Amino acid sequence: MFIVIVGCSQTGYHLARLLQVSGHEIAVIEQNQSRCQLLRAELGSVAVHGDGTNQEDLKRAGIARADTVVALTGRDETNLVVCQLARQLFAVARIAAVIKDAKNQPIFRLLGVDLIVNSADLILDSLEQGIADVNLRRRLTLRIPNTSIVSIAVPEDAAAVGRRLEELQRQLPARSFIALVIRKDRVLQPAAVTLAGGDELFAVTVTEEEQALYDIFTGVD
Amino acid sequence: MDALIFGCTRLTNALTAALLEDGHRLTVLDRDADRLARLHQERPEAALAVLHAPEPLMQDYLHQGGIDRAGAFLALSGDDHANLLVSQIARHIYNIPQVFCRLSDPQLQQFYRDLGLEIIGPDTDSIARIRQRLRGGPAAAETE
Repeated sequence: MFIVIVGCSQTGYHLARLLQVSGHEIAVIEQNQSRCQLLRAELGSVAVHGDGTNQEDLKRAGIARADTVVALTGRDETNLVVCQLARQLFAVARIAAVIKDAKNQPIFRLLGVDLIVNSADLILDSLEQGIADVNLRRRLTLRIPNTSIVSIAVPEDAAAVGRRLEELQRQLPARSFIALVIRKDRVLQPAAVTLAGGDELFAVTVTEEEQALYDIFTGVD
Repeated sequence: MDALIFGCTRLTNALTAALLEDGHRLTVLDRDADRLARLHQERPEAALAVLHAPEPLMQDYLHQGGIDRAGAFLALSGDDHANLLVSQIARHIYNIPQVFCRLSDPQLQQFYRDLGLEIIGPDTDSIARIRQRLRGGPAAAETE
């Protein structure tokens, strides 16, 4: 496969290396002249000095025959332009972008970006897993503004333990609801559940309501 | 109507004067508090609100500026790519009927015009006009 990487910072470099090693053909476009020279020394002639939002520079990198384009410039707004050019002008089959602001995910998806990696979420996920007492995790950012699916772990001593979920659903903020419950290795439908410590609740919610939701299921009274 | 303006530039200043005259209610968003303060001083009208957004691209600020109820959205900052991101959010996610995007790169202007975005800024017409003049051609090229 031929993959064009636009913007070659640390991540771009390591990705380029990885792809080369696994036998793919790559090209990288880097705007910074000295950085580009460095890349050329490391990766070979595949490093092109240029602007990934400029059509001529994209052509010089061979985008017309690229199977995949990865937008990695470090700026969400610039990555969006790269992706749109790649898709609309050069009909690249698969387009990926790394974004910093999770809230930009819907517009990237709407405009046809196939793979959107949200760097902040990845870092937060790893940190959360390593830090105790984090009971709410954002699992999926939906296409609808501000809306996401979160999971909440119910502590053993929470006031909600022993209460019927159906009853609690009615007390939730207006735009939030529990969609499913995971208890040990089983998936339960919320309607029939009486909460137990250790239950993991998956809720659809909006940013403004996360705190209230969290308090209802983890509060100790 | 309610219009949200992204970017407090000279173009913004000139435009707000005209739009206020026509009775529109405006909110101007920028990361530079000084520029906003100057605009506000210049036009203390109640119909003009300014909103300081240290990270103007964050959608929270667009929301705070009333993007969900705006009848028009104008991206007038000096940053082409930022303008493109927010105007496409305004158009595709909030379905704002009137969206204008300022771009200074003629190549991007053409590309996004073809995608149906309303573009403002110096464009290829200007290039043709300058070329014509420098060739010693008639001023009539302006009206072509």
